[in-house]
Amino acid sequence: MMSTGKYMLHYFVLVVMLLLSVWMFYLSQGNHGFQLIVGIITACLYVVWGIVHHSVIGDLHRKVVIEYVLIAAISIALFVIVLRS
Amino acid sequence: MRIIDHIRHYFTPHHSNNFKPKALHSKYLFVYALLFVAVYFFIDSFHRTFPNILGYATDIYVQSLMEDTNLEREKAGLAPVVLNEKLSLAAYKKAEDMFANNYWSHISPKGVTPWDFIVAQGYQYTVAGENLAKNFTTSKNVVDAWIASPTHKANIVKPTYREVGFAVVNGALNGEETTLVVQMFGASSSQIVDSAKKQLPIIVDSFGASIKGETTTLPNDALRVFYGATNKPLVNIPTLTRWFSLIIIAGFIFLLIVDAWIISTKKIIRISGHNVAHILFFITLAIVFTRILPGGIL
Repeated sequence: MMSTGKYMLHYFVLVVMLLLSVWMFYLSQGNHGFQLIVGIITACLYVVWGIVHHSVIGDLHRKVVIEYVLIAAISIALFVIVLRS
Repeated sequence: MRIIDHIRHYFTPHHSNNFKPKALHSKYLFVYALLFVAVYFFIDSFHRTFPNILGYATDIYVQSLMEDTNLEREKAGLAPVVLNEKLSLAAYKKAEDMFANNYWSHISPKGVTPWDFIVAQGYQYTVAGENLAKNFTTSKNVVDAWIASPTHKANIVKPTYREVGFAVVNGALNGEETTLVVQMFGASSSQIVDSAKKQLPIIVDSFGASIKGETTTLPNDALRVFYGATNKPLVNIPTLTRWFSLIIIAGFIFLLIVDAWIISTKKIIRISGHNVAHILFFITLAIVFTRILPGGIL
């Protein structure tokens, strides 16, 4: 496991990104269509963050990219279940 | 393989699974994503076939909305508002128009304002205001959400309002089953209002032209939804889907924490995504699903 302290800036960016998405959800209260879009954008940004982060630390591998893409896909599926059911 | 070996293989990093829990391998993550899509289609088709078993619970009544609204006015030291049938009819017509023209807004796509609905019912207002809510389960949730919003609260505790009208109507908005709550406030020109506020019209939002319209009557089939909407399926879909998602998220977070702890203590080096990032991501999803999704106001 990597040391998270070494890459505080990366995690700071991630936390800010996630907080912004929570805020966007709050702003789009009641608009499930827009909330789904926010969810999809957040998931995509998470994949981008993963790729950039692993690229910077030098351990970017196809397996890693697939893992982030699948985590994002799971989150989108959960958003669809909660928002569209 | 013994049960304990299976648990170790699926849920902890071990040499048998290349030091990553099998349950977190890409193949399994892919299967989960497909399963969740299948769950969505299952819920959708089951709801269509058995709406009384799997449906949308609603328990919203005008009486409760009135009581909660007046309770808030009482807290602010104001006189209670009285239920007015014309305002309720205007609220019902507004809800009906929102479903018919598929919009969620104070002004319709055709430019019809709340004041048009009020005037069309023959209510000559001096001041008027509108609060909207959708997708709430109970009357209390609706009023609580309005009170939590400064602009909506300002409407509820506006001293110049004397009367109120409500409509609680079930329908479909953008293909989504919805319970709309329309609350319309007013004080008619026949009432004595604060002379300082005697401007036409004084409205809550930044729009306010009024158009004279025909008085309309409430359709008979609307009566059952006019004063409240109740629907009690065996299983409430929003509750089911929210709990389902939260349990899945909790499962992922637990697995990731156990995995992170083991690889950290055993100093295992592997090519993988970072658990801390995944955990943060899933925690965000949990916050969103628990705190933000229920209902909407306008």
